[in-house]
Amino acid sequence: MGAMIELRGVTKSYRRFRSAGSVALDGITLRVGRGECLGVLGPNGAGKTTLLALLLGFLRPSSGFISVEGAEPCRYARESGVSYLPESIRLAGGRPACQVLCRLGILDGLGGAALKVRVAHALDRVGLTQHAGTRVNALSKGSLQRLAIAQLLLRPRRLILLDEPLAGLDPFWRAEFRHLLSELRREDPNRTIIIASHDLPEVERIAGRAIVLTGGLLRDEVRLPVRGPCTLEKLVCEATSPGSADAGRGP
Amino acid sequence: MRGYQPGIGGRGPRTLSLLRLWPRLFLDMLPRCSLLLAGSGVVLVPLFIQLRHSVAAEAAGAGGVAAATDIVAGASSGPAAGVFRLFLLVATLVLWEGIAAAVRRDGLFRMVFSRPVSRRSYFLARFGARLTCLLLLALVVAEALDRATVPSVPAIGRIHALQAAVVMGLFLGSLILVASAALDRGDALLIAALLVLEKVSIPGWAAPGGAVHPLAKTLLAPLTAFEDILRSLLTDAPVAAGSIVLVAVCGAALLGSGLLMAERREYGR
Repeated sequence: MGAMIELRGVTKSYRRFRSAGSVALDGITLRVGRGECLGVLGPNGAGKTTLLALLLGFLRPSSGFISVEGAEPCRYARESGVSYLPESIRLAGGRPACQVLCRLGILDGLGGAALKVRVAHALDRVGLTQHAGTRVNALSKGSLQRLAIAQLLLRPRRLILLDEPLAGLDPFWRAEFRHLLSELRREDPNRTIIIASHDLPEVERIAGRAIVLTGGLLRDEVRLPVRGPCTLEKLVCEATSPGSADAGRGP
Repeated sequence: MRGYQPGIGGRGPRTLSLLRLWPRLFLDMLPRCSLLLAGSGVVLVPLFIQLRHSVAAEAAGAGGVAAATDIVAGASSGPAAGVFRLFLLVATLVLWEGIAAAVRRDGLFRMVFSRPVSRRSYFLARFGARLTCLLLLALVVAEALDRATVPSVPAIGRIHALQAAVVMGLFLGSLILVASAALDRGDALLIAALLVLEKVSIPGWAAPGGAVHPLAKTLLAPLTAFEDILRSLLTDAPVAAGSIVLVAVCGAALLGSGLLMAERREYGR
């Protein structure tokens, strides 16, 4: 399996005016193969979102090297696009759901009849057809999350980055979301998915491998599902406990 | 989520044409346009009429109604140019505010820049939508000022109004774009403060003999040329070719720098 994503010694620190900067990621080395589904686990502030922002080219590493299909992340996103589900969804609140999707579809290169068809299908897939004309700020949290999932489906890309995708979804839609991801992977076996989440059982169901980040360090790496008496939750708790500070920087 | 339709995915258009998005970006600006129109209706046009009446009253005292009409016709372009220039300045500051910073602070970049969109093209589209709004507003306000003045003498010609709006939008808009790419908040306010400061500081920088300090003159030359061009467009006064070249070069440099900064800077924190 060829590497889709490669990180070598990536460090990201945020500089702050008149105060010491904080290190969000410290010396991360990681390879993600084509068609792989990787879980990124860790407590709040571990650096999960920063890792995704680096892969999208929103941020640049302070040191180290990142490539996505051999290209700089920003260039890859500009040329090929990345299907990204952000943790905090900021959609134009005053507009109807279908208009929001239309705008994003245009940015995806869709237009005319194809755009309308794709928007209608995306809304249908996430069960929001009856809310197509509802303003975004009138949607419930779960519906808003489903709308954010719908925008991924307008034009699914080769690389899919999901930041807490299951937040606010009920068990039925969680199952549907898993089903959708498996369809996306079946459609293109080379599609690579990275999912950052706190929901360990769900990550265990979706991903084939997971890394554990804490304090910006890569603490552990596990194959999923975890077999034997040890659970994923236990592994993550061990990796993120204060005593594990000297546990090394991953594999 | 059943019935997923495969077949679309993978590589998208390398450079996406943002022309289809442009009308929507334009519509986004309509609330601000309405605010500006209401503001100009409430403040600027009555201000202009008041100025015109004060000129008329002075003239009537000097030589009767016939003389007053002649003087008002001649004097209309002066107050009109001042009022229109003030409107263009305020409109540009309001329309361009947050042109790059809002994308960052509202988190819009997460949805936009993960798609195959050139950041430079996206910001250029936002710039173009704002410029179009300014042109339309300039036409409406110039028409309103014309109707408020002597009917036979237009206060500001439509072509001149559009030209002034283009100069204001390209030069000042580019300046705000640079500030907006660098700052998260207060971009337009900073530029407004700089413009006020420039007016205040020029007399302060004057040498004891009365001349402006050479360094200040050099630094402020583009702004001075910009003012010259606007004045000439709105009052039919002649303008030096050097001023046009200077403003064009500085405007292009500012626009390029703003787009480059907006493209290169980090998003997400």
